Amino acid sequence: MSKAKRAIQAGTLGLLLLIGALAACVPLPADSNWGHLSVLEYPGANNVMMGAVALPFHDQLTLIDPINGLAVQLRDTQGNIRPDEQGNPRLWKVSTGGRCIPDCFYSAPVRINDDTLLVPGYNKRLLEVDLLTARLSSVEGRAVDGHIVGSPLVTEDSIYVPFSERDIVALNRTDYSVRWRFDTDRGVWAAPLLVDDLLIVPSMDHNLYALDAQRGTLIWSLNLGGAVGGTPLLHEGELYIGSFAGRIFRISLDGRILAMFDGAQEWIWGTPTIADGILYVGDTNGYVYALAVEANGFRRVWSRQVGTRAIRATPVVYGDTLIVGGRDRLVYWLKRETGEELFRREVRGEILADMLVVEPSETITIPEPFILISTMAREEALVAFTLDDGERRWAYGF
Amino acid sequence: MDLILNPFVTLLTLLYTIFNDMVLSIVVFTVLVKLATYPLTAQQLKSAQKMQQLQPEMKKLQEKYKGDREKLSQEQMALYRQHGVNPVGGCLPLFIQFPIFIALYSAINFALASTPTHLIDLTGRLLIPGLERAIPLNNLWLGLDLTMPPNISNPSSALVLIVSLAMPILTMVTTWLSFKITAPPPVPSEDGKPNQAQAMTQSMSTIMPLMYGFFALSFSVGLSIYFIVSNIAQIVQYVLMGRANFGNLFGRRAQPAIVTAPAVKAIPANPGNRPKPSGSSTKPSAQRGGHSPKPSAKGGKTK
Repeated sequence: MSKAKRAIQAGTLGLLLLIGALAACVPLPADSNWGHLSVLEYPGANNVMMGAVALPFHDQLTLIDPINGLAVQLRDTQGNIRPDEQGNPRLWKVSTGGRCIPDCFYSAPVRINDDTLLVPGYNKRLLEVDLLTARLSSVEGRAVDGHIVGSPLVTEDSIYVPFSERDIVALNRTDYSVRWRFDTDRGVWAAPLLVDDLLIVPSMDHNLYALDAQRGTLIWSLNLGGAVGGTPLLHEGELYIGSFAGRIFRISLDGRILAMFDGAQEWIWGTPTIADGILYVGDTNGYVYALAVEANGFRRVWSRQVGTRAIRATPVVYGDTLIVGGRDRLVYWLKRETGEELFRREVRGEILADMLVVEPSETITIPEPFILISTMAREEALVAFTLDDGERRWAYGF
Repeated sequence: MDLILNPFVTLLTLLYTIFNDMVLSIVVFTVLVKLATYPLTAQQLKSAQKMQQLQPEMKKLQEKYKGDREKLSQEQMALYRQHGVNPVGGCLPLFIQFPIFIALYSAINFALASTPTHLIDLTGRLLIPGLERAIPLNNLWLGLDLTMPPNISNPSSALVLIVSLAMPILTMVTTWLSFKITAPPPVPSEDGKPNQAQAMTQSMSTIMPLMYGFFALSFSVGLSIYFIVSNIAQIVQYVLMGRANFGNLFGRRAQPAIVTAPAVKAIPANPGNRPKPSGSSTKPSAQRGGHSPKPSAKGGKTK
């Protein structure tokens, strides 16, 4: 081989290596998901119903016992533990077998009847899982028209499924046939909200739509100046929602804007929460806003940059405390009155999914309320802290 | 990298707010990038031309210092200095292209943000206030998601399959055309073989289309659009500068840039006539005069 040829080959190889090195230096958007949690009841020992938390993570769905943070053991109809081939207890875990690369779940699983859990996938699939056996009715699932980011809403006769590309559909609960379809320009990325027969649909096309839930016809729509990525909060017959334009709105159910706050630093993505007439919401710049809801509009009680990165999850109010989780992998306990930080707890992954408060009850025999936080880290997908003092109780990882 | 990435994301989003079409925004963006890197392209062209012109001299040096690499290297550098040529000057613009397209690939993914995770990564990257009102940008084009690779394995329609196949093919064809049309015409050396630079160009004109075709299959459709438009813009740029070599497409060879004729001593038909001075022509006088050449008295030969 001539020297020239060798030089050419070396040069080409060097060029490819350089491209590879440069590509490795460039940040690319992370490919991980943030499935929302939901609480279910599952027959435990002696067939006594127990509360369990459905954790969608990457391509798996696991039922977690909130008492100890372990995967629920599968039981038969008599309440006995089902053993696997080696005689070990079978655990309640469902794998989609890597059929949803890169992301699988952004929404919460919903129960559609006593035996069936509907798991909406970002991979344009609706998976049905038998709750008792933790088996998929079909590995492929039911194909749907779009990616699912917002959680479906289940009513007596319908399942409302929002698609992230364009539309929202009402499916017949029994046979999944399409009852109606409503198009938006940029899709629906949050769960719709049902208020009597009014279906409130937040859309990324900047509009908040109110539809006739039965027929899917438009009743009213409002342009909120930016994408609407969260489900509105319904409080005392009024809607509260923010938009990517950094605005927060108070809206009547007949489609009038009653008040607007236009002072957020960045996008408002998550759903606000309200307590004692004060609305709390975070933005994607790490700020938290406390706004008093007054007759003539919003009044800023306090606002401060709590986290260094986005706060998407809905803040949780517990007594005089406001609990906020952020992308900076920190959970903050704030004084509700002033926003002053009381203490913080670190987790391994970013927090983007809504947090879940689990109270002691007949089915969940925990000594005190927990706050469950799902993170985007595989090794710490779900973490439980006590609500009042932030003591870490357990963590579940894959 | 955010120093490059965030302005790119902002510019793409700004163009989207103007044209309300992502493909058109990528096209305009590519043209703007081409205009911005024009000085580098011009430098690359100038450098390539000078190198081309120096090839015969280089060949001579290589022959002269065959056994002495150090001396050869010194003489080569002296030759470069003498003619004001930077030997790596031609490569620099090429290397600058790569960070640009890698940043663009990233910018397309961030700006179009097809998943919620991508969208939340877009926060804080828009440098012009008010642009967030355009978010999210429409990432669908002819049934394809611009942030995803072409969908050949599982197309949802015939149109999607056709467009998915067309993108890598167009990328490869335009890359090949761009290489061929913008490469200087090959100058044959004395032994008739291509010189090292030409061999490199020939090799690259085969490897690069394949490599870019692979990129087009593996990366986002938006990036393929950038490749295609960038190649076409490159060709147009060269045509406007009058430097396009369409002859390369058909394998035509240019005349050597510097003609180094061997020493020729014409044999006079009439022994009383003086021989013509050497180097004045490559044609032997016999051909001109219609006489057969004969060896000279000093042993010189016509070639």
